[in-house]
Amino acid sequence: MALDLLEQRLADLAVDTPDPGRVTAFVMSRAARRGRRHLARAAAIGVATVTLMAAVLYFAPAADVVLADTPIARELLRDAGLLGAGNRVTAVGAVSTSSGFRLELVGAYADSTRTVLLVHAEPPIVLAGPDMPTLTDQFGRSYFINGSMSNGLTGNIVLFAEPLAWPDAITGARITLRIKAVAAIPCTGSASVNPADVKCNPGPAVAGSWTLPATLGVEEGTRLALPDPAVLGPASFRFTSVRTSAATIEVDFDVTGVTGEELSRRIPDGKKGAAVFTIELFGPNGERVGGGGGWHGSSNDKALHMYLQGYRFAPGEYHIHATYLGYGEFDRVIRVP
Amino acid sequence: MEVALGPTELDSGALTADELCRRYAPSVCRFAAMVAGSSTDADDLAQDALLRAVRAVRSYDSARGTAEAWLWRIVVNSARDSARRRERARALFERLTFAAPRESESVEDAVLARLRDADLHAHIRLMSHRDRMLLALRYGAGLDTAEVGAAVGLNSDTAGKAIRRALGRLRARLEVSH
Repeated sequence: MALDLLEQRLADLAVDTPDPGRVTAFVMSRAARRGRRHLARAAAIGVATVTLMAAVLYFAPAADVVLADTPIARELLRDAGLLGAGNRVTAVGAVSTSSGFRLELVGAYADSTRTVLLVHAEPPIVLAGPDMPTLTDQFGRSYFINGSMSNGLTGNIVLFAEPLAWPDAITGARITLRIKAVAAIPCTGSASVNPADVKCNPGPAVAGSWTLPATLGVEEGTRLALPDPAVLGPASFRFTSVRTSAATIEVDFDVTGVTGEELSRRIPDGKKGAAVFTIELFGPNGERVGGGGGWHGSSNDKALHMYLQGYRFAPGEYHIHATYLGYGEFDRVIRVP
Repeated sequence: MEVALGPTELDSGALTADELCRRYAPSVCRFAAMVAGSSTDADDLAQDALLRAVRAVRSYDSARGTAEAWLWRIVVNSARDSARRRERARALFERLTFAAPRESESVEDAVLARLRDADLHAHIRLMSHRDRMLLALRYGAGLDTAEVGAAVGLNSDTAGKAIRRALGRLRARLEVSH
């Protein structure tokens, strides 16, 4: 059947298409990273050897990186969940000034579960839309920035991004953070006197261009023993991976018998609604440690892959605690060395 | 434009991750570019969709359908999940920050033909996610209506009608704006 003019225009539409070669390289490297551990390690050693022999120095920036003690403020490390890994945070010191705002990438931390960027802004800012910040590595791959926190009193900002892909753990990573819009956030009051009196009023968005490069190593995680499976009503939980690094604990598990939509339901309570399902990670002192997480899979499939991420502050027994309204709760222990 | 391979070429042999990427990455990337709200989102969607397919490649069973239908169902699910995720992230981002002024477009850098395509693309991006997905599968990835139907869970006739309705809505949008 012949196409009409609009259909022909759509078929021939010139759009900025992602580079298939780069996407393929990313996908194959990620797929390899999720493979079985011993295979990944053997392959990694092989590739690392070849890489070094080929002297592709550009792609191996970690050679001169030292993970040293850094003079980064304790509060910034605390906000970032990096108190347990202060000596593993790479001091960066990259500075970029645009539109009257000076941004410094103070430090960066990367492990097999997350990437954390510590930024200091003068004057204090919040990140502004519509263009979200981007993070790329030396292979041109982009990493989703899944959260940020700004402190309007100190000018400190913490950005959380997904973990850097293989082979960055071997070669080290040369990353670049690009920010295109910020907004000043003048605050009054003192958190030390009375946090409730602190008032912050973000100003209008200001477009600019801040490019902040960093070279850092990637902390390899350690695999820990898997907790026993659990069942809550129709939902069955099977733990597939528990990994810990200097600063992070990540738990992966499969859930069958319920859909993502069912687990994400909230019961109206006149406020934000109460979650029917919760799963959290608690540290040795009983405090919640992070609690980030999510799930992969189609929302209608009764087979999900979920992950739970928390901060590792100290060795000891960490607890996974789950509740499912109407079906009960379970608790599992992770022993972190 | 990429020529799509007939399904038998892949179904007759073992489907490998390398082969999957080599043959389908261009059309998946083009689909992502048309369906996503920005080039960054398109990049992420193409990566996520192909990664899911590569990780699931061993579970592909040729007795249950063609490799193309299997792949595009994964891609469509990725696009749906990505749209939900982006919506949540964007909502959070906007809550944490605030509405920002729109950036002005630079018209000097582009030739007329390119601008027209950019304009058309901008109109597509304003359509509903479902309409964008149908048009991106049909015209971005170059699938026929039966293949589009298989990817989104419709029969061929219904998929054809849905595509025509999406085209009608796009035409109406273009008429209103010009």
